[in-house]
Amino acid sequence: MSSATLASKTFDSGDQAFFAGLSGDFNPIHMDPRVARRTQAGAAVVHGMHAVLWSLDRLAESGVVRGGIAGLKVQFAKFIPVGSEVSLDLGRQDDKSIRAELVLGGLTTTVLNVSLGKAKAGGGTVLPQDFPETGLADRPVEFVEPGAVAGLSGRMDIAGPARGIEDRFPHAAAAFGRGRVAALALLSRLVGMICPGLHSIFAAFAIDLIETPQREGALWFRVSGTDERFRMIRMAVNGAGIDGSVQAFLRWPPVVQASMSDVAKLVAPTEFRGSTALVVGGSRGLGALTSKVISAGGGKVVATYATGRDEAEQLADEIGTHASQDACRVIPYDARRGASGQLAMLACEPSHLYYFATPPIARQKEGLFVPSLFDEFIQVYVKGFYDCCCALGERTGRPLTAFYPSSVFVEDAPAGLAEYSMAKMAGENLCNSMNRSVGRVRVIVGRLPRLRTDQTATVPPVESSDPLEAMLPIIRRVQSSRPDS
Amino acid sequence: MADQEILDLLTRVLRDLLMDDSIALTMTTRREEVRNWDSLVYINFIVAVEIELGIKFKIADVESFANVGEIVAKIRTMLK
Repeated sequence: MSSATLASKTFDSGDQAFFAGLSGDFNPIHMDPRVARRTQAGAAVVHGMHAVLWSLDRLAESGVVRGGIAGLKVQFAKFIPVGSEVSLDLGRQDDKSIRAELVLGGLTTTVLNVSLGKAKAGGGTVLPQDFPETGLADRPVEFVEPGAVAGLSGRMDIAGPARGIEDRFPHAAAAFGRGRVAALALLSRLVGMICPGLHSIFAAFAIDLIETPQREGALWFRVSGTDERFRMIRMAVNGAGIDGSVQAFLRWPPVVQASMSDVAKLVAPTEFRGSTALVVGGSRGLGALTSKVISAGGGKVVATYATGRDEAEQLADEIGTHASQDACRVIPYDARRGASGQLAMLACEPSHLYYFATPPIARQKEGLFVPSLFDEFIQVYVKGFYDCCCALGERTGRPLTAFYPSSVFVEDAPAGLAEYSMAKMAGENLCNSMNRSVGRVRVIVGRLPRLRTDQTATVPPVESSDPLEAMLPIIRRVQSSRPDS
Repeated sequence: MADQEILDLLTRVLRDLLMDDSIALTMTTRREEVRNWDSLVYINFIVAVEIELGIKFKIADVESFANVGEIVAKIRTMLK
């Protein structure tokens, strides 16, 4: 499809703060990079509706919607990370509609279809006036199961957002009407703060513009349907000059791995006594779980973190409470940087290495194979692992058993994971070479199935295994193995 | 319902979802071959097809469809 770029913009943290204040959508996926890191977005992302309103403002400014607007349909396809530049590309235009896309690095993040014409005289899904008012809140509501929102309804006052609309979106306000633009901004609050709230993904909306003078001051909403299979929620919205539907997904909350108490039930207290494990990438996910298992068995652990210092310290506290205070220490470690210098602060000589360092695995990308992404995986899964093994070998002079977590995806890579599976295969080849050489490091490779972690959480249901069940026999095998045996 | 009719319906639903009239599905089309047909749009597509035809897929089926032809074949059996 041929298209022309109309405008481009980089949404920065100031934009995030502005739109959160305007719309009342303070969902941490937009506002807190530390929390957003553990979501499917992997980083703080732009409010989708902010990007839409900016697009409408550019479209209105350009004059292409001069004949009036009758409706708007938007599909949010991909996240827009804060700090990345998007372009607004104008697609098909005729006398009935205009199609536009927001594009980020060749990927379409948002598709907009503007229907041209006049607002309808009235009608639509008129929702009862007596719905309770849903006021501003600084924390989103947390729903975990879609069924919990069934029947939810409410009303949001547009006065707050309407005040800031003309300054930031003057052309859209002139073309749509200030109240309608404010109502669109409120859709962000509806999804991000109210329904489904904390764990939401705004998927799509479709609205008609209507003339309803008696319902100008507020936007009414009601959950019109849920689908438990796909964790999907549909809502009807009406008021402030718009009428239509909103669709959102309820994403899975961050995965909570088994607690020390749970782990201790399965591990004998002296099972791993006398061992010291360096767990790279130990602050969360499989690394944190492995740290707990070894500590529960009487072993010592040094868990590393790249960015999640708070999570690492919480892990050390949890382990310290159940085992001895010095059972788990934490250190910073970035697998993309040289290992020797970073491991200089190690106050022990590890007998075992567990290497869970990983960049985000599921990526938004264009095309079958992205060389730069492959390079990124190779850097961590191959070069980083080898560097870490060499640094430990040189440092300690002690035999070392290392665990290399490969993946069943090296045999059958799902769509979109070519770079990941290729890099893991390269890592396996490296491990084989290391085991054939006369070195101090013996590597045990395990092809892990899809396990429940933040990295594997998806909205569409995908079967995944229990991490503790999968990891416990592997850890026992690694711990019982001696490189010189 | 003939296979071609089902294919036409699937094409219409996807065109409507992605707001792209240039989409032309065939029996061998795979999801990754259609621009912007990512996982969330795929769920929307499945739900829209279910509503149109008054059917309900099992999750395992939704995960297993390798191409459009397999969706058509499944729908054919469900409509019998």
